[in-house]
Amino acid sequence: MGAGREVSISLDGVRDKNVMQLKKLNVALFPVRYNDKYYADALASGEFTKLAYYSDICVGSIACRLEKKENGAVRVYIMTLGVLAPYRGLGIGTRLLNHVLDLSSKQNISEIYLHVQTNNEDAINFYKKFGFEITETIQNYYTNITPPDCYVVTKFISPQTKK
Amino acid sequence: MGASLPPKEANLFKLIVKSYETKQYKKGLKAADAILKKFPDHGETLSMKGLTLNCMDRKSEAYELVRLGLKNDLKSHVCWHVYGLLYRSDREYREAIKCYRNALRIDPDNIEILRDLSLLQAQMRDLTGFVETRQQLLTLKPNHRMNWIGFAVAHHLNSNASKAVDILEAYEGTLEDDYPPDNERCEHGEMILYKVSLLEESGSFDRALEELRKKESKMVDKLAYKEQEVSLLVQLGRLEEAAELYRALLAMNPDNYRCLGLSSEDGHHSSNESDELDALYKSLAQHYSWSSAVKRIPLDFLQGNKFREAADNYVRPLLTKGVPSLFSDLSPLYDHPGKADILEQLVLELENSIRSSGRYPGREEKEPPSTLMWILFFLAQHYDRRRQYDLALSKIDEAIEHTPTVIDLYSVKSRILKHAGDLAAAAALADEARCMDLADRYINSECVKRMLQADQVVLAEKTAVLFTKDGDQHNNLHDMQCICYIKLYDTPPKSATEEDDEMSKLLPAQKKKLRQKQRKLEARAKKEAEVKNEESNTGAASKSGKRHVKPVDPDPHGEKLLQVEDPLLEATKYLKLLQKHSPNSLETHLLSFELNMRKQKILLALQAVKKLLELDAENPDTHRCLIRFFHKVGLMSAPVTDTEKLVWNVLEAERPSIRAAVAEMLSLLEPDRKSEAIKLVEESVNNLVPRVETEMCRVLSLLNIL
Repeated sequence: MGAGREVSISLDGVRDKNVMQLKKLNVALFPVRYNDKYYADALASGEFTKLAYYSDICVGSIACRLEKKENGAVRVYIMTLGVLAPYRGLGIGTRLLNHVLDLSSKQNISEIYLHVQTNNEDAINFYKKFGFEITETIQNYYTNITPPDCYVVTKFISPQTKK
Repeated sequence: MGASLPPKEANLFKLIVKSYETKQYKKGLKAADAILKKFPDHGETLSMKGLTLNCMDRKSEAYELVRLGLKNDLKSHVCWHVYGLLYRSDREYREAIKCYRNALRIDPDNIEILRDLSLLQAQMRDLTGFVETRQQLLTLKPNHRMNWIGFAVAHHLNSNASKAVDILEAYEGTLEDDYPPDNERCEHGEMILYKVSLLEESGSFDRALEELRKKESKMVDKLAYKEQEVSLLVQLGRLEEAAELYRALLAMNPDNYRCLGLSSEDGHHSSNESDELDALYKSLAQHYSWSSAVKRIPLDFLQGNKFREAADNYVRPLLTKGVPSLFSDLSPLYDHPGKADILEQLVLELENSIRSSGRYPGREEKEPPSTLMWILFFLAQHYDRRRQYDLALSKIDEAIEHTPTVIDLYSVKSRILKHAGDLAAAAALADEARCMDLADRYINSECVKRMLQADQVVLAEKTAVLFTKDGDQHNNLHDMQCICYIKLYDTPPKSATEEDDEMSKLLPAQKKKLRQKQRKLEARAKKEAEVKNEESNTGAASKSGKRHVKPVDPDPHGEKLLQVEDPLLEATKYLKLLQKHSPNSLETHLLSFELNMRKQKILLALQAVKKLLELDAENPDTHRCLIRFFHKVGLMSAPVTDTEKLVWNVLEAERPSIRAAVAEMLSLLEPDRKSEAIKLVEESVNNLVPRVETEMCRVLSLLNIL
């Protein structure tokens, strides 16, 4: 979308001192109230959780959890990704997702996945643009919203060839 | 020091002193104990051990040891000095000064003690003593620049600027021609600037200018040099030269208010002058297109449509960019008649345009989404200022819904709620703001303030302590200069029941007085804090105290004050202080009213009422006083003595000016006398200034509705 001016978008980490910003965003963005474990996981994921600033205003975030698979490899679970309604369409979500994709590929993480409600076509199309695909359908994943089913949407990154 | 000890112990003693200075207290303590093992009565060691313990939070032991040490060695300047330092650490400056003086009696030329003494003299505003001590220091060490300047500053503080100049010149006389060396050029230049400012202060503008220009080559701070020069030229009436220099200064920094502001300082201009100024600023704006000062200043003197146009141009880019301080930048304009209305219209138009098209009126470019939020933010503050709290709240709520992550929004909402009277909600909002950035001290302090206002003392203390180091709250709160709060809340509140008990022992009248005293104390504490601030600002030249710390109020709950024999007399003293220092505070005159009503001083009460009306005629407390005043006057019996007659005459003469208020009250309190009230108003509508007339009409219409 053409906002005729150059407005800078920057990312910043989440720490104890500013975690409230993430909470404020989540209250505005999602119908779910996240528990303490969510925030602990987000803080523990370090660089994988970021706030997005639109000319110094915090307007979006991506929050991930790092999970160990049985074989010892690490995979990334995107817990939430969202941008405040007035600031959508400005490339902020793309910027956040690309950050996590780049970081994963740098750390040789081969799997990134998330859950999407089955009727959320916008989101599904958004992730498809980045090479995610539907890998599974879970019935009755959600308890309070309809439809209660979700897709597991996954992106596999082939290991970086060493240069 | 430690002279009476054998070599090994003497070395240990030096180690104690060094450890104390480098804050390695444990090491110092060990050394002290080692000496005391062999010489348990050694006075200086006992003293130093005490001083060390004082730094380790073992205060009572510290005093014991220092006093014992002194007793064992009354002839030691060390012991006396240490005793002074101990007192100083507890802010007992008068006692400390006494100790230093005793030490100096034994060792008159001890530089360290002299220096400590001079600092405390400055702190206690013993300026004559301060001058003497600095002179002594200079005599002892005349080759130190610091001592010359210290002596000059002492005279300056003691209101003798010309003497200070003499001293600095005498000092310059001791210098070689090629002075200063490269590494001291900056300091030397500052000294010359100081001297010039002293000359300026003592009214010798010619000499100041001459001196300044003569030393130009030695000056490092070229900007300060030019600013000083221009100020002298203006004071000498050499305006053309000054104007030229101002332009040069503007070329250096087009946002320099000291250069730009001068012309508009006096505020009122004829329309002719303001046209000229307008043209001037327009040409300046072309030269310095990036200067925001040249765009902001014209808003002070432009009127009507020209103001509107200039304001529009000024606010648009700042709302786009998101400048949280925009409203405080513009708030002085709200005192100019009509400008607030124009600003309101203007920003509402911007709001509508953005809502419908995403653009400013007449613009092609789309605004970023944040512009709407900043507009709402501005409007919220605008309505808050105009006391339209419902509108203010709806705007700020919408802004928060639009972008819930901007902390300033919560701070402003907190302020609106405070103004609207909901102190608890204001505190809660301030806390919400605080939680959004735990690393911001300003937001933390703001929150503490709101909690105190809402009487949440315990919570406030807990919050304030988050920003003190090491959990050592009291000292740090002092250091953070939270003077006002400490004085009020220093003794932790006893449990509510205990306090209630104390209160319940009192007669109702006494209780009321006690509360009054407390309020007075609060007001006084605030005043003192203000004076303090002023002093530390104006005393920039003072090298005296790095910190101005006030001793804690020994009677924070006013218990001692309660014992006073004639409370009204005592209260009068405080009132005089308030009237002198806070003549523009509503609170002052409210208290004056209360006091004088009790003392049956009708005219003084009237004076207070008039002041209240002048300061804030809309204030509910003002109205309360007014009603009570008329009630009182209404109950007075007909005048008999000459004094009473005199009082009546004054009251009669003053009557028309506050007649509308009388009528309003009359009709509210005694509706059956409505016709009387209407008559009262109608009688006085003639021969009134327009403002009062409209007020009359307002009352009249009100009466007719009732």
